[in-house]
Amino acid sequence: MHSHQCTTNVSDDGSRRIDQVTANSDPEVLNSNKSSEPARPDCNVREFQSPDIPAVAALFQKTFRNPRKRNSAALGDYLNEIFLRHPWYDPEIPSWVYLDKEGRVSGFIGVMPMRMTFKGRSVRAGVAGSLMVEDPARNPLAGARLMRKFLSGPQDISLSESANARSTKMWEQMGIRPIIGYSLDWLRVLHPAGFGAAVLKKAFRPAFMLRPLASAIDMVGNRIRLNPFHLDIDARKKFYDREIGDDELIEKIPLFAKHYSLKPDWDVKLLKWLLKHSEQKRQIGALHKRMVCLKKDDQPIGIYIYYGQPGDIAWVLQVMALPGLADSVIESLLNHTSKAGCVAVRGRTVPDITEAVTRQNSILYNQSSMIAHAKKPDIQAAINSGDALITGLAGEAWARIIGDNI
Amino acid sequence: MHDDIETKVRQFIADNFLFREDRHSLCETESLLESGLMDSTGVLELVAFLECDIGIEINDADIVPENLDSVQNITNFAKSRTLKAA
Repeated sequence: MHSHQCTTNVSDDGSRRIDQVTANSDPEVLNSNKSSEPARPDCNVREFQSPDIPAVAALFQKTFRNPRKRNSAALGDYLNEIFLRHPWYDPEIPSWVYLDKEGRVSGFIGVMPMRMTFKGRSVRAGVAGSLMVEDPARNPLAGARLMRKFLSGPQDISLSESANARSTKMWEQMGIRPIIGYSLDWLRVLHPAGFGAAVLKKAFRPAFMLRPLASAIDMVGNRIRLNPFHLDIDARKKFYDREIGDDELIEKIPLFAKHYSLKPDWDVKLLKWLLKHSEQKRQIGALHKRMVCLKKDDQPIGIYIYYGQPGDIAWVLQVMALPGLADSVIESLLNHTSKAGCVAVRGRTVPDITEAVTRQNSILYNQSSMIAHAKKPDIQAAINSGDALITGLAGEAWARIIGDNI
Repeated sequence: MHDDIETKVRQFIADNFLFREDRHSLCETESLLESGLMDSTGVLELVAFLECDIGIEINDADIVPENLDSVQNITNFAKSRTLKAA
């Protein structure tokens, strides 16, 4: 009925052109879609609802966990808890599912609401994560539609704390670039032999047997001052740190958040809920919550929260410090994790602690990116300049879907 | 105007999808999705092109193969949108 002429045409300057894709001369074909409305979808994106939980949990297992195993019932319960029963659940900023032609759930983007304030004014944010698509090569439109659906929501700020390389590229195609100041991870080795053993253990589980040997090597290295990562702690330091409970932490958090222009508008109920969830994340060690205070008058200057266990790499959930005092808080964190037997410490950079961690001989690398898009330029400027509290408890790192087995 | 759209679409596909995959030719009805020329990132790239360079508004529901899967579909979709806007 009609013919195509597909030929190669490389222009003089070397750029390939598609002029060779010969226009179809059959007017019937050319006009087949001309007068009609653009095609409407037979696939659909709609709000995530309770009946979708089994399908989304199965997709989560397949995408982010072991695809050869069935997901646990607990995973479905957990997704329900954080996406549908979130204390600040906002029906205008929901999670979304993508339905394929057969009406099956084949894509998902999880969204958690975050009430925030910008210079005292209330603003709404949506924290998106867990973007997943069943067989993305076969379903390339799904991820694009889910992301656009989220982004076109009524929230003032769209956030994603842990966008992987693929997601980051997709965000960039929508004109949203990662915020570099929040997109780096830092790693400070404390005990080099133990760190080597811990890294090896991740790839080859029986390597955990190397731990006693690694400990002995590190101990000797410290004694004869051969550990290049030895912490140089000032014995006359003017601060100390101590474990604190949830109530005291919740009471003190506003003190350390107040210097940010953009910050969560946390209330006690939500903070308790976030800390409860943080405590449940046990695979990377117990949760340690500590406050750093001045010796002279016991005034608090910062807090740090991390997961850690002897012989493993500690993972920092949150560091907050009064302006200009981040060095003391980072020093306290490293000292405590080292004494607790952690072999290294890692965490996400935030602009006001990056200098402090680099001064402590940490290395910086990019594992996942922080995406933050504000509708108003002044809010975007605050985020870009690091004047925003948007990670850790303010993001999604507290959730068990990040770095925990459920 | 419409010929211009067609030329722009063809040029965009050549510069962004064919070049990347080291392909030299493409039939105008060939599926960009099934041939693997356009992935999820490419879809967003194409949507951004249609919105910014062609100047049409794309709704989420427009992001379907029937509108975006081949040179012909993209051109027809873009033309129908510009007609509607006019």
